Amino acid sequence: MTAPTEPREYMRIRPIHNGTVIDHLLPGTGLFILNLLDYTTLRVTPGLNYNSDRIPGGKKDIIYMEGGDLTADQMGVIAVISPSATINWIVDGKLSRKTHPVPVPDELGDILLCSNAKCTTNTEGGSRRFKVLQQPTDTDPFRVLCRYCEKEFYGPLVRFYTGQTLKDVRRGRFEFRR
Amino acid sequence: MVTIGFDKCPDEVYKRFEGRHIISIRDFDRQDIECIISNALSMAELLKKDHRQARHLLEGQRMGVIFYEPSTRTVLSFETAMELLGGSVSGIKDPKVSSAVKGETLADTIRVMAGYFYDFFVIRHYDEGSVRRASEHSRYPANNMNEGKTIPAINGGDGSNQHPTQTVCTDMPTVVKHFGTLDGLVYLFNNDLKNGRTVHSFVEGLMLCKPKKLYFCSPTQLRTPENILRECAAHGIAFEQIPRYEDALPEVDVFYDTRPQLEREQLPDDLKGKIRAVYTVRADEIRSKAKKEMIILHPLPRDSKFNSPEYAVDSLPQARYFEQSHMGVAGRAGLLCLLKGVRL
Ligand SMILES: [Zn+2]
Repeated sequence: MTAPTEPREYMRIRPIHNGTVIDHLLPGTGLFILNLLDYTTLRVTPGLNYNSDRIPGGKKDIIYMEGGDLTADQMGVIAVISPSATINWIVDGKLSRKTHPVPVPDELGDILLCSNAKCTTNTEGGSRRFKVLQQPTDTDPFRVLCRYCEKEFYGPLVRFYTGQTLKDVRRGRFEFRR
Repeated sequence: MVTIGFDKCPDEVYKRFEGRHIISIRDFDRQDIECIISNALSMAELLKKDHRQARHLLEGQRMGVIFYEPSTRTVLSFETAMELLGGSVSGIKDPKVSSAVKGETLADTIRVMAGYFYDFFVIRHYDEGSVRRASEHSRYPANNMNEGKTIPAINGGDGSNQHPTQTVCTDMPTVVKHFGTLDGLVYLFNNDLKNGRTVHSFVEGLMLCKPKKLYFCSPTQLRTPENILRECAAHGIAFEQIPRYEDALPEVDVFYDTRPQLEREQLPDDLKGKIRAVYTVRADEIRSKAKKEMIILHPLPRDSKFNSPEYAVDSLPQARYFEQSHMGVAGRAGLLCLLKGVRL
């Protein structure tokens, strides 16, 4: 049994006049990524479990942001957590630019927190920088190295500034065994 | 990567060091390490010939030491190096009387002291990564003719993270002095490999070299951290974790002993007994099993409770740990010159 086909153009562009559409997110990653976006003032519409002909399993998440753009950190996290993602920039109702695959960054910044309590970024604060040591594979999450305390973190020890960890990605790429 | 050797250092490698911060072994490549070592050895020669000849090299320059954790050896060797080069030293050596007790961050302390006409900072702090953070603020402000240029910040130890000058100014030059190389040698690291940051730094430095084999000899509770072993494997470096050093001894070129760090780790009494019984470097073992050319290193201080290496080892030809600590002065003096573009 197949679900009725959605009108793609309508779905991708209509809710947005000027802004960003994060499309083809692995199902289960949409809300995680939404939390990392600054949606306090923007009009943001998340879509979960839309039909997808590109992602194995046939489902995807999607996020529409009216008037917003993404920081390098946000794009980096999208690339790492959902390599299937496409980012579309919409200007005056038209697709002006798209990126796929979203490049995996060499570094991530303040979007992560260091999990080492003795790290200066936790004791004295200040900006944070993490080297992405290992690109994600189907079975392994990514591994990062704090530029300051030089400790490595992976899996659930990778913490985001929102307090989320990769454990909070409910389905999709990362499923952590207890 | 081209190996430049230890006796000549091309200009372009030299130039990389002017105004550079010395924070972590991870910031170096092979040429950097060779350059620092060759400067250490040249400085050692110069000082041996007549240490008064060095007096003009950094005349009038000022070193600020900021030590939030106790240290006698590291701070004294930096002070001695600076004095030998004709410079002066002042700063904060007792955090109890410093602004830290008033809640000032290290970053603020550096921003204040950067305006006090210092030309170097040597920093030890208990927070990991603190010296890298401090280095971001270490530049001459508007009251100085060098406004905007960096003031080299040197990591004298940040918690259990890094202590790079112990490796590149002290340990490695001692090895090169004896063997002419860091490559093709068998290294054995003994005792507390969990807390010994000098071992971690040394092994990280060896990632840039081609050692024949590394042995890690420690009680299970004080084993080398996983990430270091993983890095060895990733660099294709042969290593083995062993429970006793005796059997490996005949192969070893560099025997690196360490002190169990009781200040960082509560050790149960039976483990302390085991460390004394099994991991102490014993003179009879060295005499009967080790090569004559093997060198025994130790970052010192030697804890008299554990007595390793045994005092009887001191008179053996392999014992090089005092020589190693002396190299620390020459190595640091050589590094200071490098950071100010002074060629030896
Ligand atoms: Zn950290």
